[in-house]
Amino acid sequence: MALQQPAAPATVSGYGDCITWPFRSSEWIGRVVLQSLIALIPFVGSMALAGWVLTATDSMHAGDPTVPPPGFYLRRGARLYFVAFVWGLIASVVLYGTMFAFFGLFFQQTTAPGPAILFAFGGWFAFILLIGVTTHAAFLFIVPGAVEADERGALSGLNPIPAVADVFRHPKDSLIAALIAYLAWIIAGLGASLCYVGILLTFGYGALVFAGALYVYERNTKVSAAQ
Amino acid sequence: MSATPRSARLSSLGEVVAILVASAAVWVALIVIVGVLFFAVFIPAVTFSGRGEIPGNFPVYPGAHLDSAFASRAGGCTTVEAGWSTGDGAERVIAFYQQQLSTGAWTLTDTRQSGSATILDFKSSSGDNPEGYLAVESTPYSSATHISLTLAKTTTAVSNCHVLVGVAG
Repeated sequence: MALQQPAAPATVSGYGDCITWPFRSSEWIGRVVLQSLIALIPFVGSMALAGWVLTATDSMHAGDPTVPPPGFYLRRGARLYFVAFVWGLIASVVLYGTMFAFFGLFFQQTTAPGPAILFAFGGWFAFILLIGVTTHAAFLFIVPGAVEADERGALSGLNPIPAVADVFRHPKDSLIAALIAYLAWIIAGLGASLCYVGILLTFGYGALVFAGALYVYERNTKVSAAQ
Repeated sequence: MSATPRSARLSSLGEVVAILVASAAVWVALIVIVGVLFFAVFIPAVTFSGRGEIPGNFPVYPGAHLDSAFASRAGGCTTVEAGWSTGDGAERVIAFYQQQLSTGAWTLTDTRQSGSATILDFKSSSGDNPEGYLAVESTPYSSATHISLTLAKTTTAVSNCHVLVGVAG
């Protein structure tokens, strides 16, 4: 029986397609693995990955949802990388600064079994819970923030107000996009459980799932998204 | 809102280089700051957390270097464990403490040998009734001497704290 020619890639119609759209490209595995390898390069790799993701969304907006060939998409990814780096830096400083302060205060005090130490551990667990809730809530703003950063540029993209406004203006889309971004984050890290070798596949694939969420969110919420 | 056309969403090469250099520089600076905070603030804060609990009138061997000080509270007693090191020989350190712990509020209650260490039991009649022992021991393969203090003191009026083989009770 003759093999059928692969059908032309269909468009990404909704959030459900974010998970499956990369499989429609015939060379997706090789491209994902190579781009994941590039992403391991410090600084340059992250910027290239951001550019690769945005190039994927560009192809989806152009009606041709194919996985872009691996490469150093530095000029395309620079503004998103910059905004993500700055916000990541702020979040890290706040998080680790608070942790250092907590540990510092804890060890400055005389360790005391009893109510005081229970209070300290209670405070620690409350702090961890707060971090968990905050990081999960932050996913609501990741996709709108990335769309705004890509659209507005590096410096203007740092302003969080448009992304926050987008979340309130399009709560349903923001919530679903957040869930897809959360899924992409879990997928991207899954490979680490296979002696870290697996991230060569899951890192890039997770990025493509995120690209799908970016595309669908921008298409649904921005009037002039396809320009 | 007028969106930037997708084809125009490219940064210049100069921007790319500037962002990469700036992010690498920030990352290096952050690692340096975290390293300094860890070794200059966090580690000393942990290692010397009990420094303030060592009685102010406790005699410290001249020139001895404080290596660590920990304190813990239980049942109205505060237990302090501290260690010093000095380049002087153990005999001189023992003689110093035998003399210092027999004057003022301090009373030397016993001097005994435990392995290679000399143990000096003491107590004090000062406010929080501290009592405990010093272990003075020559550091193996060096001329230094290590001084270990284990001390219990009363933090409430109703309790009476003692050190029993290194345990406050």
